[in-house]
Amino acid sequence: MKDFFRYKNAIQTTSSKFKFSRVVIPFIGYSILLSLFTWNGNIEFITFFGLIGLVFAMSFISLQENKRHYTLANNYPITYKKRLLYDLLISILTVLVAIGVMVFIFTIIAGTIWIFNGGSIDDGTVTDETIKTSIYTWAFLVWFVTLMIFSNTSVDKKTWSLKLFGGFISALIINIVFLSLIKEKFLLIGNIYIQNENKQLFEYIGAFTYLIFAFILGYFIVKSNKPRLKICEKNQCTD
Amino acid sequence: MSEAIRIEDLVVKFDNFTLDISGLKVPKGIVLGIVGRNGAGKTTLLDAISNTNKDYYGKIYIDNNAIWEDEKKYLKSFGYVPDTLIFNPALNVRKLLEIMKKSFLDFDEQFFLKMVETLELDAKIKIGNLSHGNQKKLNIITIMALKPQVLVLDEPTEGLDPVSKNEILDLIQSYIDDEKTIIFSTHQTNELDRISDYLLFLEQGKVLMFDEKEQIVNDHYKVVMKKEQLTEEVKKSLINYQVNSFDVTGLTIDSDLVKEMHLDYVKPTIEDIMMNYLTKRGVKK
Repeated sequence: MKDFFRYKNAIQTTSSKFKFSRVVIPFIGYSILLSLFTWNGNIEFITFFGLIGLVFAMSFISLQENKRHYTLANNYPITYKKRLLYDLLISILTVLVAIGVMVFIFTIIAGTIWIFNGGSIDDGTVTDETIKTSIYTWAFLVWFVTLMIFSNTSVDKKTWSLKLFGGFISALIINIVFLSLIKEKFLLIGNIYIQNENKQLFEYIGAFTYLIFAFILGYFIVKSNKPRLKICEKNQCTD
Repeated sequence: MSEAIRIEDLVVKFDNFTLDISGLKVPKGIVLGIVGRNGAGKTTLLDAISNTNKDYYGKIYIDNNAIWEDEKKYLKSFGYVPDTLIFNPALNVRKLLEIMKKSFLDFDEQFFLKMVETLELDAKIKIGNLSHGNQKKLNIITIMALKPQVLVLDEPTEGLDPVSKNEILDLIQSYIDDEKTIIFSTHQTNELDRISDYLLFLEQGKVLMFDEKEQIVNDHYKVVMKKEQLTEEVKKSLINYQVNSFDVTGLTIDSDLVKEMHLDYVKPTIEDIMMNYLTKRGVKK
């Protein structure tokens, strides 16, 4: 445990310089995808889940970001397993703090509205959909956050963007094909989610699909970052 | 003499550049200067050694530790000072010291404080507000206070005034002992003349030369000859030559040529050697 606190302190010595473009590109993709889900104008999904997801992803990325940038934290002498575990713990702590801050801000806003409304809040401003934490949404979030992290940690400079784009498009195609088959007609995700009568089935199957993606991408993150010997013979470089 | 760094079959590939070093053994207790033109691969090599760039093929051992075998030992065996500020600019030196003490058990506080005093660094103002030179000095002394066996510095004196350059070179020299090794890259050949024991010349991603500095200098002759003496045969023996108004100056490693033609020669400087190897042959002055 002492190791963890020392590592956490070492992070304090660094400045948070990570490639902004690598966060912006996934963020745009994220916004587009979530826009499809929130076709009906249910923007709260983007604001709430999006913020939590981004806080987690960006904190993890900033901890993992070590390409072309040296800090005392990313070369802190600990084993790879410990680094992963500590980064995960710090990211979770960051999210908890972020949630605390968000709750505090929302409380102030709600309190202000409450005062100005003379001690009452219009029930219509908070709907079930606003606070609904479906498995499907969380699974999607896990997948996308994993994808974001992957895009920032892939060791192969040339193909990271290709992998990101490929993963993004594949997920879309799989879902569109799968959901179109269910409804026996071609539909985009947002429409079908709204129109689907059996939302629970939709959620579980969708969740399963995205979680599988998350596990596969997560595996590649761990694999690509682990220090390993790569040998290059006769100009033919292979892992 | 045991090795501080051993490199085997290192290949680092970029879109239009490849660093390819088949073998390199850097002894302990020396200062190695890496020199080469812009884009020769100096920073690429240092990034691979310092684990800043993990996208390389081949083997790098520091103090006999390999990253894929024991990453903890490998990361502990070296300290890297890049050419940019590595600390949060919002901290001041005092706060940095506090954090470093908490983060690294073997951080040498006494050394750090002594150096802060010697180099007259203001401990109260934010690191981001320190001058470029002082930021570089702070980078170096903080990493030195971790007492790494191998200290790797990327262009430590780049963009500094002569006084600051001197201070940093003194600092580098004061760190060296039988067990500690320093590797630094530079464009300044006078720095290599002053503090380096070994030289590594890189050109277009390949090792042009790697040896003791004295050996490299002793192997080369800077010769002067009359224009008529510059025959095709002689040209072949010269690494490079410059045709001046009245005579020809050149660089060679052919001692027989010097003796047989009774040529006037002097021992070249590192700059002479570098310029002759890296510039176009037979340029008229």
